[in-house]
Amino acid sequence: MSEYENAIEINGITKKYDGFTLDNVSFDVPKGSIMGFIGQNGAGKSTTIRSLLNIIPVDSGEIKIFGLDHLKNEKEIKERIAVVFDELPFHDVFNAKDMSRIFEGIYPKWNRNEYMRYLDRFQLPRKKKIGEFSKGMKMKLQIACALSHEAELLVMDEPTSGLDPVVRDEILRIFMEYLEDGERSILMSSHITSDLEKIADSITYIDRGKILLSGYKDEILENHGVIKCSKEQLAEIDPADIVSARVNAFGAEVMVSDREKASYKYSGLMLDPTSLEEIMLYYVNRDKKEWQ
Amino acid sequence: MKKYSSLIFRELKLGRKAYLGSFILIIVFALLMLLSMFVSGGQYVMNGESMDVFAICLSYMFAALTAGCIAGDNGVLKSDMASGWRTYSFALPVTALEKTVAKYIVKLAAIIIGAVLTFIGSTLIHTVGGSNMPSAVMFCYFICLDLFLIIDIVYQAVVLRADDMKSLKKLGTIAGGIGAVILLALEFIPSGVSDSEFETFMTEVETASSPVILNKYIGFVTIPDAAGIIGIVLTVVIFIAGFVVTLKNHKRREV
Repeated sequence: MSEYENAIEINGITKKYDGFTLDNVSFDVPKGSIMGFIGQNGAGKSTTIRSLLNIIPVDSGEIKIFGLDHLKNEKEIKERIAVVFDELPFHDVFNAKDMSRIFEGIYPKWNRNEYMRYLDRFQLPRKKKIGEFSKGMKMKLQIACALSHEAELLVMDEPTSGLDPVVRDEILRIFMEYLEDGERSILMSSHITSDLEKIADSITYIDRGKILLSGYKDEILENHGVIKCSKEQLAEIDPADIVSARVNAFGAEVMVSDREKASYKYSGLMLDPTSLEEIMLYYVNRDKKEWQ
Repeated sequence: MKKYSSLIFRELKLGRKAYLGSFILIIVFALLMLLSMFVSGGQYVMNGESMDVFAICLSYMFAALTAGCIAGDNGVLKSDMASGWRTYSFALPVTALEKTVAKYIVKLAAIIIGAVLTFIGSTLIHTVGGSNMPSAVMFCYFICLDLFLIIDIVYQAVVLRADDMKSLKKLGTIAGGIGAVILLALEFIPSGVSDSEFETFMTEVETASSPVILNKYIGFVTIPDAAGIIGIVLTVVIFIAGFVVTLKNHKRREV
């Protein structure tokens, strides 16, 4: 295995469209970790991933994968990564066996036996046409293909969306197994934050093309909290401490970005831990400050 | 080599429905032509007896149409875009050149097989008559083939600009329209022959003897002795142009 600290280094990438800009996006995915890339629909997750894979060119910025430039060393990098999209990009007329035939020529390290083991584990038929697979089966097939050529990095764009909880749990366990040797890394975008809370080591949160948060998941969850108070008490909270506040007829729920500080400063108020989903919700409404 | 083997396997498996459909259509077309020949009382014989021109056409048209359908658009391009494979393939360690080479190996194989079949057929049937028919037939084979290749180039140049399903449908319709216009436009290219001259010729063709017909046919369409070679050169030029267009489009990233 080659030496590098970060599987992915994204530095200041910008991509402009009409009505949307990926604005100075920067984050790293440390080697051996799972990075959860969260954001609501249209936030820029897929655009960032496509830029990373050179599916779309960026206007500016630098991207390194395994410490290598993603353009100059494109072919070498792509032999070492695997990609999973939210929709299966394989033609309906193929079957699982055909996909092995195709990938064994494309990936130098394709392991047919490993692939067949995954097919058995996922209980996927080998000769049935892909077009007749269910959504869960299609995703499992894509993942089986991704895990069968000793890839050092798995890049996944919403791999669990549309799947039932049982299938999602099974897939997430497989990803955890994939990382056991400490040499492999995963970048996984999702708006199903509960999945990422289960398996991610670090989180990057993107909203409207900008990175709002990036860091270790546990730290992010530790740093944030929700104060439950009355509307009168809300007025006493320093606006600089507030991410945003959800106000209703009965009171307010205020998200703070420094829970430890808030616990001292507002010791009379109820301060609860939060979840990634709540963090997303409150940050999305950060411009409004108060919302319902 | 293993990579090309995989890419060619993919190309052939995806295109086989289109190939089979085209082959069946051509068989039907050929049978209808033969049927019309028998119904009209035409005869296909050699050595001094009259020869029906349709039989001559069949020998190269059949192979040209089959080869053309395989060498032309086999539906893989559109289905790659519709399935998402085109986007996915950018994440694979396959270069634009490799994708293009694999595609064109299939096209080249179809062209060569068609050419060999046409040459064998025309040589067997017409060399006995002592004519340079094989050369003229090869020329006609390559010209027919070139039509398919040109339409394929136009189709690729247009459709590969699509970034999503909506634009794919729109551009596919435009590409189909341009292909139809090209075919129609060829219909109106002046042949340099008036209707009455053509009618006189056809009457002579139907009644004259074999070697006379063949030489007169060739003379009528003013094809020189090196016709086959001219056809090959033209096809090579169009083939290379198609390769360049395909390569350029495979290199093009999404917006």
